[in-house]
Amino acid sequence: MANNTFIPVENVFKMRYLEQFVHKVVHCSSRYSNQRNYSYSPINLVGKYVKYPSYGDSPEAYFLRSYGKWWKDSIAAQKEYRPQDFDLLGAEDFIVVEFDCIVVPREIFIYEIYHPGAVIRIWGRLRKDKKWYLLWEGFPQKCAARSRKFSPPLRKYNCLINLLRIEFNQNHLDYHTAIDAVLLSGYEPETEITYELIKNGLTQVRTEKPIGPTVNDFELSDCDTDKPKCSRDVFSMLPDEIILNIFQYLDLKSLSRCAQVNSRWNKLSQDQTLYQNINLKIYWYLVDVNTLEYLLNKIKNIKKLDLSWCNEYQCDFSTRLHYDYHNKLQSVIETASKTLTHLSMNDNYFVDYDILNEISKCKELVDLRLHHTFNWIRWPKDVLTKLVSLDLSMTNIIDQDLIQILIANPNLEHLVLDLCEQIIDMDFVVETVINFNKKLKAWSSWKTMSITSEGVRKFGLCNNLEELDLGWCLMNHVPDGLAEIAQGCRKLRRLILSEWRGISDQLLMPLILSCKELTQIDLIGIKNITSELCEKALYLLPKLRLLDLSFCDGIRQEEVEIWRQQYPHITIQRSCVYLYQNLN
Amino acid sequence: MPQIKLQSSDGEVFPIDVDVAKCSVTIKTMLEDLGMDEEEEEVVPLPNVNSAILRKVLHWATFHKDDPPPPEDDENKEKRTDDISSWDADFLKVDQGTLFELILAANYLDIKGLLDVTCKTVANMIKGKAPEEIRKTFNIKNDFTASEEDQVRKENEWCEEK
Repeated sequence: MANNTFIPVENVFKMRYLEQFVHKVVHCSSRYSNQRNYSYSPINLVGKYVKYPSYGDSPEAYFLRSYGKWWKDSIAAQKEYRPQDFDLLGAEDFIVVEFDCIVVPREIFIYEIYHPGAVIRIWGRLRKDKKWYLLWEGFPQKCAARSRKFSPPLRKYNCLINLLRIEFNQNHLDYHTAIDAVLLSGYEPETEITYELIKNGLTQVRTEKPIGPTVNDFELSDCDTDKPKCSRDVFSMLPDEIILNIFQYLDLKSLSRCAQVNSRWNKLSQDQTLYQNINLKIYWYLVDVNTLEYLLNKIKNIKKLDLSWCNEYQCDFSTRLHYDYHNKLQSVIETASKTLTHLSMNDNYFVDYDILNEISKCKELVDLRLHHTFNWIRWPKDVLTKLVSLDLSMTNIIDQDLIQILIANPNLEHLVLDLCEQIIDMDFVVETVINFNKKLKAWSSWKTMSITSEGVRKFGLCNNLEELDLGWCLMNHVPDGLAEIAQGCRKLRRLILSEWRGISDQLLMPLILSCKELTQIDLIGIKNITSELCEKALYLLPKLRLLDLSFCDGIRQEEVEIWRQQYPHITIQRSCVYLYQNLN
Repeated sequence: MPQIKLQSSDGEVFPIDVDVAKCSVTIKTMLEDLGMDEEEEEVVPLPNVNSAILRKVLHWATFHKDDPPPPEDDENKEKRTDDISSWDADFLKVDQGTLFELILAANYLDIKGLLDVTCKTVANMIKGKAPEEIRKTFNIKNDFTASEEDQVRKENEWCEEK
């Protein structure tokens, strides 16, 4: 548009320029740390950078849990519920941080000090307000192994913000990404009046035309090369079933727009078959009470529903809208309860006892994802019975309730209990699994530290086990029980034993000799293992693709270099702890 | 390679390899039901397809004759529309009338692969457009009354940036 000229509000009003680092971390979907542990924790984002411009693995920065395809490829990972609604940039995780002063944003600096390139979107918002402004988005980047002060060109808004939401896609990275600090610079209104004027959009807020892909407005331009138009309504030639065949390829947003075209399109776009699977995660910034209302009369036959990230664009719990949304959410799950087989509500604040109560009435559920839902403590008495996949990572689930769920679900194959810090006696949980969940294929209790070698030993009775993640689980106990696993778990493909201090070649060797399916082994921080063990693993395991030897002090870097040459198809990880000074 | 003859609605006869013709489930069933001998010089009439469209369809079918059979229609079917091959994308650079006639022909002849790719192409033409743009693109008349339109917009405005 011709008159689309942007006038920065700081040119009009007297405003104070300021730069500020993060004051507080509000929310994050991924962490490499336990709740009260500062190593690699999101809390490290608060304040000024401490390591930059050094490059390397530093516990003083914020680390994301996953990298590459390794986590996505897990059999326990969530499969997409609705492929039509996918995120072109592939956001995997996010973090929301708060700043002290409210500013009109002009520049943002993200201090990436290890494996940079995962940031794909930056949103800004005023905490008190609802709207998230998309300040920048772009594809994930392949970057050199050096620290980076990432400052993407921001879209120009005359908006006030004190929250930033940063989204990540770390699928292309070779190892964990780390962020040392985030700096927000911009202009602070000097007077109350200026503040109100900007806040209420009275300063001719105009936006630049967005640069780069607008993810939810698919610009598949080459499919739409302005075909010579017909003078007639070509759709009137088509019977309903073909129009529905076309509609089934559309994302939810497009379907909503089709509903507004004419009365025939409106009728067809309401067809229940189009709404068997719904994914609202990619629309998290739009989802509110109206969205749920819109869903309510379309989900009579719904099978899969993804409500992850849909926090009604609010951080505050006190406002009235919160309850409306919560109640509507409850009605949605209630309406869907007869047919729903898959439900994902990861990182959703609104999952509390009442919502869980509705969930537990969805008797057909086979796949339930409640990662990082923390507003509940007790599980309802009414339990599900058909679960195959259950993700309760980063929740407050307690032993008693978990045991009750396990006993009731004989078909359980995938169980994720990462960072479930309220579980006191993991050995008993394992024993329950042995007795009641004989089909279990994937177990993950990464950084859930209440297992002992007795519990570990019992996994030897899980004969169908393909994936076992016990990383950072055994720190205070004598490591043992691996011989039983080697004996009983012949199908094991993925084995994570990070920080099993004190473990030796001798204890690990039986696994390498018997578990021939192993493709991933994580031995981070095991100081006593020698190159002999690694050579055996590399040589004897034909399917091995990932071997993590970071912080294995018994192994020399030169040896790793030789192995990398010898086994180019195997990724050998070795976290770099040396500090590399950036030249610029 | 045995051949059969297909006759379009406007009377043109297309000799074609049986293998190619059998991409169409309709023709395949017809041949089986009628017990048509491939040696015979019989002509299969296709009264719903004109020669211009039939020529396009056969062009597509000839190129795709060695494709693996398309997956069964189930809920896990690939619903993404960014997987159209470049050959198909080029093939479908036609005017809207032709594209829609191809859809109808693919539907009538029951050629799943062609129906899928043409429907995906139309889906891509709809995606990202506002209701008015959709109407303009396909020359569709808005038959809502003002109050209906208002109502429908309210029901669906959740997806618009606020």
